[in-house]
Amino acid sequence: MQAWIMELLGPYLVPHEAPGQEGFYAVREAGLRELAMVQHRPLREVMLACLDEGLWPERFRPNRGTFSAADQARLLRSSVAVMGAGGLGGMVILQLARLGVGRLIVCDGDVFEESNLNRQFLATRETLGQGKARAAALAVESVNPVVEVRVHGVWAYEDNLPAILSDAQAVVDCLDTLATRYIVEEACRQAGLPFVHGAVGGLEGMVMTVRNGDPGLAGLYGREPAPKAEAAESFLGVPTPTPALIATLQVAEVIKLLLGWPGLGRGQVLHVDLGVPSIEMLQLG
Amino acid sequence: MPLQVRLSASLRRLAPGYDALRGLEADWRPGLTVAGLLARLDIAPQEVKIIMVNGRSAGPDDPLADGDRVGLFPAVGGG
Repeated sequence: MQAWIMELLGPYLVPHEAPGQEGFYAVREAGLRELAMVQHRPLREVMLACLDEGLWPERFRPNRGTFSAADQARLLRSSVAVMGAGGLGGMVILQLARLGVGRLIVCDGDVFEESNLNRQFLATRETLGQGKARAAALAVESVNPVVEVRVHGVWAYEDNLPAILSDAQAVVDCLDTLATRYIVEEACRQAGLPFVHGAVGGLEGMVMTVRNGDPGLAGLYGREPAPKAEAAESFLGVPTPTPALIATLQVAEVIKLLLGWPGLGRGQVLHVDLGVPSIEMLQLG
Repeated sequence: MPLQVRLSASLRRLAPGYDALRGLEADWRPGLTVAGLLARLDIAPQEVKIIMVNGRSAGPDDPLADGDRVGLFPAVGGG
């Protein structure tokens, strides 16, 4: 990195120890903002330039060790569509923002209501009545302003999905009806996009990553989506802890997809039961 | 060895007194299929969307072997 840049960032460098390795510095956001202003570049580009030189922004520094600087830069250059900004989606969106996925596409036609407060992390007294997708963008802005959010405050259907999903590298299924999940999965199949399914009912949930040619939702539930009235959540509701855990597992799958790490394999389904508690791998096909 | 049967989520309402930790035990006999097991448990086949035998997906007509672990799941779609 050029000497004048290091001089500018000097006051903002934070020394860190690394057991068994040489110590290292990370840089505070205030310094990155100053550099961005001097260079007339977006903060995101400045962060990427630092990561490319192996200098970690302090906000991402705890990811170091699990991710390399190149991994973190790759996440920052990535684009993920989150379908649904409710119980699963709110948590997925907040985690992807903190993780530093550079672009999020958020699609939800709904508004927050009182019954969302038990589990939906973007639902607060302040956001009641507001559009979920828009509220998600505001929450991301307050957590990590370098993440660009494209808001689609509409319901997903066959005709608008190709435009919504364009530019996405992975799609996270955080919807709440099986019929729409099948439609989004089909749109992903046609676009060649990986589809990370998560669903909850009561204290149980499922996670599955679907790539082209995988059995997918039809392999799990049959060719036709079950009506909402027959699904587990109609009997058991969606209590507080389940969506957050399933969302975390979905985010872990998204990370692996973006970084090219092995994740859930073809036809593998994670089934979580917080009641027992147990987590088991099921195999389709 | 009896069959080990696990009911998931809302299917548990169909087996009063179901214990999530222990599951159910059912006697095995030659020729028993998943559908036969459901009939014996008095669970309507349309309630069950996913059948897993020893962790792999199976169909209602698949035969069961002595000691099989059978997992029965409803549709799950909440978010």
